[in-house]
Amino acid sequence: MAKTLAILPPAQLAPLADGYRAAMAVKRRWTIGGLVLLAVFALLSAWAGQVDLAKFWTGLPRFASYFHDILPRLRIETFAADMAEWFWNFDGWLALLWDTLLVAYVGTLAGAMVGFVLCFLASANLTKSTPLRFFARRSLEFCRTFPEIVFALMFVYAFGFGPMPGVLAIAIHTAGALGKQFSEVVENVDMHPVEGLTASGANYVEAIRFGVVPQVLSNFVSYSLLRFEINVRGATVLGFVGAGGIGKELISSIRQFYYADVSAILVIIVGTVFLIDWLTEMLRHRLLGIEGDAR
Amino acid sequence: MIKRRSILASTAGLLLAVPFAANAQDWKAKYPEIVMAIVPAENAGGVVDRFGPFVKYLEKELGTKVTLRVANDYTAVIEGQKNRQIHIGFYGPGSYARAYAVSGGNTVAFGTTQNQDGSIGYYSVVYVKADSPYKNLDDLKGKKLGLVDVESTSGYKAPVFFMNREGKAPDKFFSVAQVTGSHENAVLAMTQGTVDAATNWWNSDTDSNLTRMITKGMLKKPDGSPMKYEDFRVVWKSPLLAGSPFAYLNDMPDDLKKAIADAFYNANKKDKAAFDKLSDGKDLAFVPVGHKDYLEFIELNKYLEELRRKKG
Amino acid sequence: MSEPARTIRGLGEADRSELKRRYPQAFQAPVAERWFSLAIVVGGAALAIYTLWRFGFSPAKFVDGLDKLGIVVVLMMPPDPGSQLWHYASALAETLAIAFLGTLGAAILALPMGMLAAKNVVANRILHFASRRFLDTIRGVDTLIWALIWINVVGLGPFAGILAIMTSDFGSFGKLFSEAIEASDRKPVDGVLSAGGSDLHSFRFGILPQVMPVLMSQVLYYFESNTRSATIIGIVGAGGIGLYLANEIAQAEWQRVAFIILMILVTVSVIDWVSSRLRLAMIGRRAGATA
Repeated sequence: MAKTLAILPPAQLAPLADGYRAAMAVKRRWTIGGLVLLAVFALLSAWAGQVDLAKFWTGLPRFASYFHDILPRLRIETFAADMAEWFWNFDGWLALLWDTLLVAYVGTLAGAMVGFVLCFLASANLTKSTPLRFFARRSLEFCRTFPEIVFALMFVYAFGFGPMPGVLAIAIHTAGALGKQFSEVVENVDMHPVEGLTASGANYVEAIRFGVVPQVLSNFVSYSLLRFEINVRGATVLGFVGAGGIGKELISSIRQFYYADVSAILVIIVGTVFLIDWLTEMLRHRLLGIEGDAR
Repeated sequence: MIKRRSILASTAGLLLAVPFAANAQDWKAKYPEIVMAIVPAENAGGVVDRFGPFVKYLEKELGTKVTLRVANDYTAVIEGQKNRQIHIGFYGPGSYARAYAVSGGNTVAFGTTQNQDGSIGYYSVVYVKADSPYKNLDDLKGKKLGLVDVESTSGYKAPVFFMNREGKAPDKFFSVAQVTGSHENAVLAMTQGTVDAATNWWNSDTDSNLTRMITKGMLKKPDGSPMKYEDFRVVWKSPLLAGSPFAYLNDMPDDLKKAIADAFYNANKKDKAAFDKLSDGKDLAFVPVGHKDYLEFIELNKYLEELRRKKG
Repeated sequence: MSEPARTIRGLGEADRSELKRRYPQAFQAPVAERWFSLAIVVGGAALAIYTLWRFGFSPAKFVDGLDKLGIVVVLMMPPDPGSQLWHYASALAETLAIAFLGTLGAAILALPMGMLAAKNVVANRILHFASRRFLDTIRGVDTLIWALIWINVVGLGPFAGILAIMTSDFGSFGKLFSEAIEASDRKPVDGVLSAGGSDLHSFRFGILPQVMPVLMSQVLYYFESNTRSATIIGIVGAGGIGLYLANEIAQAEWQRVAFIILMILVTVSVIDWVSSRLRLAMIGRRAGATA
């Protein structure tokens, strides 16, 4: 397939080539500088993080052995019975899984609603008042960066054990995350319909409702579905700290070394995440017509 | 002449000593670092401070590096000893039985603490508030119980086991039998009214988790005034439970095991300050124990597992 | 506008009905679509209400809890580390190390994986499907659970945390990288191939320059998110400040809790700021605004 392109005569080529070399040299200096900095930080982190490659190497067989420990013995002859034994508590776990999914659902819904209301206040093109925008942005940021699990721990303390603390923790975090994502979408919106509406006498809310929302709704729903998928995993983890659901059962099994139960529950969790992944991706494709972004 | 003789003597002494020294240090080549893991009964920073001097004492006695690891729960310690990454672990009797089973018998108890009054071992109790109408366990029928954590002996395993034996299975006898996560949490949940009663560990009236919480000022009445020991009542006490054991890896060389055990048993004499710091001076000494002292907890774990399956 | 605008409300009835006749969709969605939207809204609300009932939610309990929360917030003031400041500071440094190395390691390892999972780099459909599912499986297991697994391998401590973050990020980056590669423009690849380059050349000079800014942007975004994850994996013993945090909450030492939270918030904000500036420098404002 090799074909040479026609090349310029040397007189024209030389300055171009020189210019290219100079530009590349500058870029190379920046790249090398950046890489050196990266390497320095990496070494510092390796020291602070007690990275021990020897330990890793000797410990690697344990990685395999852990999976070997938790996987049950499935023999071809007694396959059905072995599977029944492995998933002895299948309906119990399914009920807990349902709880977890509900926690993720209500948490995402509540968070999306709050985020929806706040996102317009945080958008530079719709909120001219800087202090108001600042307040909205900082509130969303707080909700987003405050570790969800800490919210959950505090809410368990305040509201007692059970799924409600998990719902609230997820709702707050989601409000912050979605609020920011929503406001970024809103800031990229076409302002013409909004201007047209305002010129025709619409007030603030009407201008948003008829000028902005139709443009952003499918994006909003897409981001919300993505967040729901993330929150399903988050709700599982919150179960660790007492917010109920299948996470609690998982951590309980891990703590008591009921190995086969650990793998059974992990299979259920991973399978559910797969399913939700696939469903939300399908829905998002239909909404956007293009591949939405991953996380 | 004296000089030559003494040089000869000391050289001979050294030469003779070398093979002994080499034997004694044999394990040092294979074990350049001894890892001891503790689950804190209080905040993690406090544990590091509390165990610091003792770790230094061990380093001096063993002549090798000793690293303290703080784990959040027994699971990490059990797994660590199973994988032979943790050499000395500290457990409750129930979690020790688990460690023994999970490691195939390689995690073996060697020492526990002796209380102020000379006794060994402790109890699991159920507290209620003194101003509540509950005088014994029967009064708590249909009420809410706060447990500690599924691997806690005094906070979960022992109460569940013994109450079942009395015919009062917690998950049926009480309206709620909720795991609260820690001994402190259980007591706090009770004082706040989230639960009516709480399980906890208890050495004596002057030494229990409750007394430690009161000393730290953690318990306050709604009006802000601190609670006192008299504000609580014990409505149930378990039979005597074996003392919380320290356990080491059985497949370590015998002289290393002996060195570790001896260091523990002699700690209160060789470095009293470091030893006392571990228990705020409430313990007398480390005393020897063996796996045979914990056989009933192996049975207890099996019983609880069967219970779990029946419910499923 | 030089003259005052006429409000739509001021339009005559004739104009309005004419507009309605010509553009019915602008006034009201077709019946089928409206029923569908209504069904979704009603269904969604019903599910939410059912959930709240199932979880024993009651406004009274909620207000009660808010009250308790209020007490906790009051007890948190002022944030005070007590005697633990040095422990917290070194734990935070550990946390940053975990986040940094975890993200870096994952990014480096995920690049070849991303190539493998991209349809336009590796044509084999089965390989593509298998690698995508493989990445999904890794992603499906939460970082905290990976931490537990890695603690098994390398013991308690921050090394396990680094590996945990590396593992779960490997799954996410693998998927992101492969999607970015698949979305890249074919033309530079064709250009390199037609000028005599090999397949590897076409990737290095055709695809990589296109996707590199987006990839770096995503990696930086994840670094911030990983700092947050790193703060909590300490709860299971994988190093960092999470262990202290969980303990202080269990002990109800609210002032210390508040101090730790403050440290975390400040750290994450700083990382966020640094990450945003770097992303801005690399690809400019609009493209830098990612999920």
